[in-house]
Amino acid sequence: MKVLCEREKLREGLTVATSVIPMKSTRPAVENVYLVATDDALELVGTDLDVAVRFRIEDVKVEEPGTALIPARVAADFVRDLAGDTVTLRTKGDNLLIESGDDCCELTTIDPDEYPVVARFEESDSVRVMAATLTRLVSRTSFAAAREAGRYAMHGILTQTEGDELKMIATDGRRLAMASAALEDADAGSKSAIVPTKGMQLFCRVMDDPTELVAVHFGESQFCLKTTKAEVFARLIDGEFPRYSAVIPPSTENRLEADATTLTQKLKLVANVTSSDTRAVRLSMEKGALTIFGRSASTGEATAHMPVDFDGKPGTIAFNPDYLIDGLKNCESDTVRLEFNEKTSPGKFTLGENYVYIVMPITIDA
Amino acid sequence: MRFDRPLAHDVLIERLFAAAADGRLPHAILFEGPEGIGKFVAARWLAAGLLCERGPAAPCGECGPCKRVATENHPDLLLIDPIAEGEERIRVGRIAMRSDGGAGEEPERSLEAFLDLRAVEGVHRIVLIRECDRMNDAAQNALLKTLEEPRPGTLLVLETHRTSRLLPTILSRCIRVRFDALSRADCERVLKADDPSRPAERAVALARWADGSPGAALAFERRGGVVLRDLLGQCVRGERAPLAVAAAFWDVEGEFTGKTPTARARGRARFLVDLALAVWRDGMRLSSGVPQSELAHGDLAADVARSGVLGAARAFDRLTECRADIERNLAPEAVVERALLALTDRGRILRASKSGARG
Repeated sequence: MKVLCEREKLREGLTVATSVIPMKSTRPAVENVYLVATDDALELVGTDLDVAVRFRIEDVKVEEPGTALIPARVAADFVRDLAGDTVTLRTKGDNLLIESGDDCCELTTIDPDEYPVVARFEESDSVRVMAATLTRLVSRTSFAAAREAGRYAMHGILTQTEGDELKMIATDGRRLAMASAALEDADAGSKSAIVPTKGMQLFCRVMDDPTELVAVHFGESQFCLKTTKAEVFARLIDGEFPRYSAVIPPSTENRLEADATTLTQKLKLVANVTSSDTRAVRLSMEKGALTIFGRSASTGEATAHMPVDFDGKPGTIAFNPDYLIDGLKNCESDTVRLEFNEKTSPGKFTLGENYVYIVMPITIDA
Repeated sequence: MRFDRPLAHDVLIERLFAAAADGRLPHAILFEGPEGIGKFVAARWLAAGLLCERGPAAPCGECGPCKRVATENHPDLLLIDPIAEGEERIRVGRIAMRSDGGAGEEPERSLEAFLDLRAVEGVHRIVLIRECDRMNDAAQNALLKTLEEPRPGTLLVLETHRTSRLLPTILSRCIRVRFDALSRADCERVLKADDPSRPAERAVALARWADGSPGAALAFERRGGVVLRDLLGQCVRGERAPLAVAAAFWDVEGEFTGKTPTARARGRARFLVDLALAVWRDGMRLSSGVPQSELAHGDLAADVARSGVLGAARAFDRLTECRADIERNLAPEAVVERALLALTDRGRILRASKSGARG
């Protein structure tokens, strides 16, 4: 293998690849970066087995195609610290030389067959979407995904296509975020996959141009993304996502509309007095007014008032303030709408167009 | 290569490959049988054969998946090997994810987390658990969930030589595959393949002493068993005083595991007493008419048999007491001396004189 490329592009590629490569792994081969020099490009492949990235550098001069598996961090650090503008990568026996001007580094390689197979993006049956849309859907939902041990199916974002719509849903069992947006394709069919949150976040990192049209593919075992620079793969979660539609109330009796900024501020204010063991705020509604009340046996109590539009039967419902603030952080409109039936039934927050956030209420005495 | 053909178990593994080819392979298999006979080697061979590009069949050793299995880089194979990891127990965190585990470190990949994601390269996701009896009850209970609701393509191969330590609920959810001890000829074959430079007569002797377990033979050799057995023979034949043998015993080079010097000394004492018990057992069997050629320690057994049935039984009882004393954490040096004294007339004279003095 012998390739000449710009140092800055190689540095960028190694940075992206090493962002997924683990520092230490029980499978030593994955601590390496896999270099593939084809006739017209250099690919840098990195994986931690959950996610994989294939970064492509186009403007290179490939004198001899080939592959090499080299220690990722050392290579990335060496290339980062080089002063020259161009870098030559060439194999010499079992080693790989990285040369730039008078500087040179000789790295030990290992048999590329020891490296896990990283798939290639399949263009057929892929769907196109705007990078900004995908990023927005991930940020609208990923915060609601479960983080604690167990219930692994909830550690991912359920990603679905229905016709020309892309929908994402995440839940941890106590709250659920659901958002959808239009695809660029008229009919993408019906597809579904549970993609780990970590994989989705990597997708967002790789998409640096929000206006770019990216392609996604729902594979049998992986969810794949292709941008002009890179292909990213995330292993799917092998589980059954909860039947989320059952918790979204089809019709509601009570409806409140409030200014999102003021509500966030008031919630934060009252949440200050609640403790970790009684993390609840009570929302008492009546026509034109909302009272937020929080209490902790050890610290005291707090009350805040704000004007709202309320339509329904005056009553009270309690929520974990952290869940409400998490959702309101992602609120895209000036006004937030809360709908619910009973004080024990789920609260449905509408945080923007095609963006619903469901929070289970807390039952508190008195 | 880190996976080898399991000598003498070929037929068994071929049947499992045939079952996999027909789509009849169960999701959980328990490899059980005596220690050191190649059950885990067979489990690795099975995994490699299932993941091999030409599988399910004997792995070619040449393709990418075979190389990745050999170098422990295959993403669809999880090895839980407490021996290689130097762990006494298999913790529950290796089986199921625990929120409180691994503070400040990369969370350890548990079996559950491994199986929660779909396979990377093919359809099979394989987990091999060596000496699965090292799982405590909590870990075994955590494994039950996976055993009860396996996802497609999942294969769990559990290996043990202490089946009785497994919960009935684990046993009832696995297909049990029984591995038998090897014949002496097969055992010799394995020992010769392990180290071609080992003298042929040494391989023959080790195979005889190891009772059909190449693993036990190799451990015997690593622990300096050949020299220790020679010392024991000198003691039995009365060529050397027991206390002199006891002193020489601690100078013999041998590998014993344990975190402290006392733990290692206890392991060494346990090894000697177990060896003496095996010799005495053979002596008593020889007295009962079992041909000398069939006995692992036939040469030493003849000397034991000369002390008569009653004398041998008495020494055997004393050795059994010594074995129990080691587990009671009594000083290993003293236990070794008592064990060696129990083997000789001089020991009996000493005990008789002591009991006379007390009387």
